[in-house]
Amino acid sequence: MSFVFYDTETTGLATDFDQILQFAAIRTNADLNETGRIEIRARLQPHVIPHPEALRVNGMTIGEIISPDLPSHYEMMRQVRATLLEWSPAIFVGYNSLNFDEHLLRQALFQTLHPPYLSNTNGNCRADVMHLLQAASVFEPGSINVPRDARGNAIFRLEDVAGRNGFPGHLAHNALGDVLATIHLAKCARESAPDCWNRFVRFSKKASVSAFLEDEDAFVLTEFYYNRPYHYIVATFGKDPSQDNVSIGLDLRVNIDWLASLSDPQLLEFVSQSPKRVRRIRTNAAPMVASLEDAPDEVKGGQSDSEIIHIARRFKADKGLHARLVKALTETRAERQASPFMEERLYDTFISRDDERLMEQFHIVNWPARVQIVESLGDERLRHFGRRLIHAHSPLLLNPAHRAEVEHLIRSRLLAQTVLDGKWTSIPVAVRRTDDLLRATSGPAYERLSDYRSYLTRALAISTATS
Amino acid sequence: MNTSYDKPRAIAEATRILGEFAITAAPVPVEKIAKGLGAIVQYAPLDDELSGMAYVKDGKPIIGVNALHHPNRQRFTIAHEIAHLVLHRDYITEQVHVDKAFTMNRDSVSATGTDAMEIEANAFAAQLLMPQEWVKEALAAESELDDESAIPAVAKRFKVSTAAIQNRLIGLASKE
Repeated sequence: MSFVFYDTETTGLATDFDQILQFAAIRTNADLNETGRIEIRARLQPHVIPHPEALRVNGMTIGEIISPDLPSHYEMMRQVRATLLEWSPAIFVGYNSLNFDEHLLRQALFQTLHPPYLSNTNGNCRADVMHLLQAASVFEPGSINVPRDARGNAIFRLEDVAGRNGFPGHLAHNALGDVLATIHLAKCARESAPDCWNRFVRFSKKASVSAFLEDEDAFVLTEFYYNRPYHYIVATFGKDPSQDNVSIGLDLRVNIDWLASLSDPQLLEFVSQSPKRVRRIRTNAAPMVASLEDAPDEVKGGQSDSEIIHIARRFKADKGLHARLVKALTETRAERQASPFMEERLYDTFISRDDERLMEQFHIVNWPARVQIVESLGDERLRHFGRRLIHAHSPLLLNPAHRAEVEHLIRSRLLAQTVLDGKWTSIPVAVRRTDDLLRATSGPAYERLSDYRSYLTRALAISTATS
Repeated sequence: MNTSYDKPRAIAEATRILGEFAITAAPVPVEKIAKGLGAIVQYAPLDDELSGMAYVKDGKPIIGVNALHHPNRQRFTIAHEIAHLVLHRDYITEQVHVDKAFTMNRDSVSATGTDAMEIEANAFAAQLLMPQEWVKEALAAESELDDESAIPAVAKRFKVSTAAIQNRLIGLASKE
């Protein structure tokens, strides 16, 4: 049983649309000693354009990422999945992974016709070392050396924190280099912030978080926004009606008598206002929670534990108020429209058992046989990704209508002049941004960007010619 | 090594600790008891067959718990390891005591010395988490339910697995 530390290097920051270019993971035992590793790269997929800023950060050249010597994205994900399953069950850990790498990993699995939730199923748990360090900076101050900017604000960027805490020769923005830095910081925290480390390991498991929230009358919830900690003394009163993995709790700084006296419209206004006094706690995302006795006094608002527990018990006994709060929360939810982009529909619904069985078959037959399997999938998202996969490997296997459809979708994505909310990077967007960067760059970075600019010119010509 | 075991003493110690911490109702806050006894409870991703461990480091008792196990199972592990701290302190001071999956019915007369400690620790843990009288009362309160529904309901109240409650009931029945 073990930890799996992992990291990705990607074509950009759009976790639904960008692609993993490099994946690295190291398995350790419970003492954080390495017991296995994987490091693999993939070549660029036909429908993806790297954001020039991503290439500038990770130092990859366009020539490297389109090299035919690299495995395809699908081949990479087959190896990644096989290794991670072999290492399961484990605690999956990254640095800022719960906000970034894990989404990319899920999307990469989903878009290659694999069950997406590998890191929190199969007995696996998940946690984030950046959150561990943030917690340590508050609950065990001085345990971790946290760099600060000119205004005194904490900086939790991996390369900065690793350097400040004695990690030598960090190859930053290389997936394996970042994994090694993350393990180093985990060791630092385990050594110097043992209570935070203990909660980090314990609350990586969803069932442990749920049991804790249920058992404690009140507890401290800590969340970070822009690297600043915000503490809430919370008593839970149920689950989010639309999400089983989300518990809801009241910030006990609210006067319970006043809250109970509100009319239904006033309660609706109360749950809608910011800052939110009704907190949503994702039990499967390793929340930063601590019991009252483990939290420093300064985060408890001057109240003793017994005073807080008294208030919490009064609130927990008022089932009528809980029901009214849940009703108000439900009314604030806008009906969510299905996205026109399949990538944004990962969380719409779970994959059916029948489709999971078909997905398993897909990977063990040859490409011609895969076409038939894809067409028998019940889930339109999977059919979409399946056709795109087949098109990337053997386009002529698709029937003409499906081939034309895939090619139209790829072209429209690549050639979009503007992209709503910057969802993905199109060629025109990349051209404009590369030109901006070229004006402010020199030396080897300039050469790399120039090569990329030339690639974009060629890609634009090819895509335009075939449209 | 002493191969005889003293279950009445183990049960009496668990009952004494419930009284010392003024615990009067289920679920028993077992982690708070461990901390109250001066122990550090540490979670780690251990091999599945390992439930937990107990040892003394620099004079401080440490209880290790498998982070990947279900919380109810973790509660039993902590109770079991508390037993080693309370009943077998000398032994765990000399060495790290690792517990594999507990065999609740390990109660053979041909027990080895280690088994004798495990038998005592299990008896202690069962009494700490599921005191005899409380279990009987809880079952009586669920008397409108059939056995199939009552056992999970009681298990939920005590925050233990249904297997643990079943074992407890078997143990109590054999004494009657």
